[in-house]
Amino acid sequence: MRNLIYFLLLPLLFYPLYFLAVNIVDSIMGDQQLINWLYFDSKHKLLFTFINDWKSSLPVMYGVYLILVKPLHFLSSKLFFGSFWLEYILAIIIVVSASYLFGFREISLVANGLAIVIILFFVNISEYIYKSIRR
Amino acid sequence: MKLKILILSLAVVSWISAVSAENYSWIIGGGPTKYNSQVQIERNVKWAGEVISNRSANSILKIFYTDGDDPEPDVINYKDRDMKDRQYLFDMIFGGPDVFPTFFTNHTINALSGSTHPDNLLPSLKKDFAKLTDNDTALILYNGHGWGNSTDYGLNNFRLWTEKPLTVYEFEKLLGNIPDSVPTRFILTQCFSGGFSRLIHQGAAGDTLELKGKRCGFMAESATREAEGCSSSLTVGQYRDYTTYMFAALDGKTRLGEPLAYNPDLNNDGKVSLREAHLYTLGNAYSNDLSRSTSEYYLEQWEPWYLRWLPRDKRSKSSVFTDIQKVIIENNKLPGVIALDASALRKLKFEKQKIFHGIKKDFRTLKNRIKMIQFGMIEALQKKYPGIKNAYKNKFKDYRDETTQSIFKFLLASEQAKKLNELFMEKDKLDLTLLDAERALTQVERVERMGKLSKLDSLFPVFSKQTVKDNYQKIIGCENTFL
Repeated sequence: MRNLIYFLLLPLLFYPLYFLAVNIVDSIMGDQQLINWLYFDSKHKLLFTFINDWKSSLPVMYGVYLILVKPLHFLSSKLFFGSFWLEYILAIIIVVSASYLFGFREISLVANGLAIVIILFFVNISEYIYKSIRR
Repeated sequence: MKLKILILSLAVVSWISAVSAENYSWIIGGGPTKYNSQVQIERNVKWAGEVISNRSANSILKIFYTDGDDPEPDVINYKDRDMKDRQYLFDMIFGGPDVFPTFFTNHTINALSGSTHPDNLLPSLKKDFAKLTDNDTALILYNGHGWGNSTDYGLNNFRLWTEKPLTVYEFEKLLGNIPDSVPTRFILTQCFSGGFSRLIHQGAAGDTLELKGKRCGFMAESATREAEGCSSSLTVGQYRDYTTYMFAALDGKTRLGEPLAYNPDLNNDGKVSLREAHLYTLGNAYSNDLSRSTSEYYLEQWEPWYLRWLPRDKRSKSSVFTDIQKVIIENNKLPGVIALDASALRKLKFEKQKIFHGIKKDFRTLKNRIKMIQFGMIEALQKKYPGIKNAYKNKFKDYRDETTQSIFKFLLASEQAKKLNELFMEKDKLDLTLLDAERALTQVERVERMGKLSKLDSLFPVFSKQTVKDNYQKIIGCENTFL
């Protein structure tokens, strides 16, 4: 039951993390869309858009979770802690390659990459805590 | 022999059907009441009708306007403020701070198909739509007023004669009478017209990317904003709505016969399509309108979660919207840096907003001063002529003409009335300044919007599914048709 809740709830937090990461990049190097929205557009509409996007992203986020993150859960603690950084490097390579293949060559690549890294960081920390507790 | 006859008959039938292809156009024009049916709308409707008739081959044009053939006055005209005008002088004192000297006339549009009252308009359109065949085209131009609905844009509506609303949902149902094979174009200039972008979907649904038939359109404004036609430009002059620019591009010259800023024919095929005219309008219109087309709406509807907050990349530089952004910046002498630097754009928007709100505040203060003087004058008059306020409402019917005339002479000579008139003149000037500030702000908002569209336009081919791409091309194909 605890596992089920853990698996089901974790991907729900991925989109907010993605949102945060992408907007950090966009605010520093891009069009500052979120800042502009907060200044000039409706907050109510922003919340509505956020919730809708969050719902739309769930299939992808669960997919990401199952492919990239879930296998970690079956690793032994020793292997997991040992591969902590290797996993980051692998994830970034996957993101960069995929982004390039899809046609992104510039700033959006940085945004996507950072988003994935932040999500992975979050997942790893939660996995770290989970495994530490079970030890 | 039989085969030859059959082939010959088929050839004749296909030739006849090709020849009989017609371009049907309907103009629905005028305001919902005579008090809100401005002469500027009438002028634009006449002009648009002329452009359609001249530019559209095999065109069949029908015009519906306000009360149809009813000889009663249905158009409001504006005139200069003149204190010696007795009616105006009384209006100036009793009529509130927004009063403007007006007079009413009957419209002068010929060959009318009747009133825009739904009892006439809807059955007529239904009948006409049902007659359309595969090779025909349909163009619907609405040049009037509209209301919005903040909770459901499908309830945004046309304000037809006698204030009867026709919502997006109802209009879509009406368009359902047109065969799906007929390219159906609509040009809508009213406030909140962006809500009508949904007409491209079955049932005017707001949450689908599926299309219904071959529909496309051009709207003066978003679903949430008032159009230029609802602004003070109507009273203080300088009226320019979406039609003013769109039809100038289609006609190759402005309504006053002046040349265009540049040739809107982007693909140099010698003809200006509706889309080319719209793109010209986006770049050149100095108005309050943030105009949009159904293809732009479709891009915005499509925008997936994983692209929404991503910045623009290099490929957006080749988008047509980036070119339009440059035109807006050049035309309005805005700093070029705003196309690239979001902080600079925001700073400029804040500046323009500050100017606009500052003038708006001055405007409110001035209106309050006018109200105060009006109040003081009415109080003083009430003491001298008890019940004069009600008498004014009843158009002085209970007063003898000599009495009314003596009140008029007394008021004409009064210092307060002169002061009031000066304030009204000042208000008109400030109104123009306010209008200009709003237009200047809109130009910055347009630069911002073009940036967003250039991002979507450049990412769409990379990330959209084939069916969605096909749908988009279908809309673009429809928008690229001619009058």
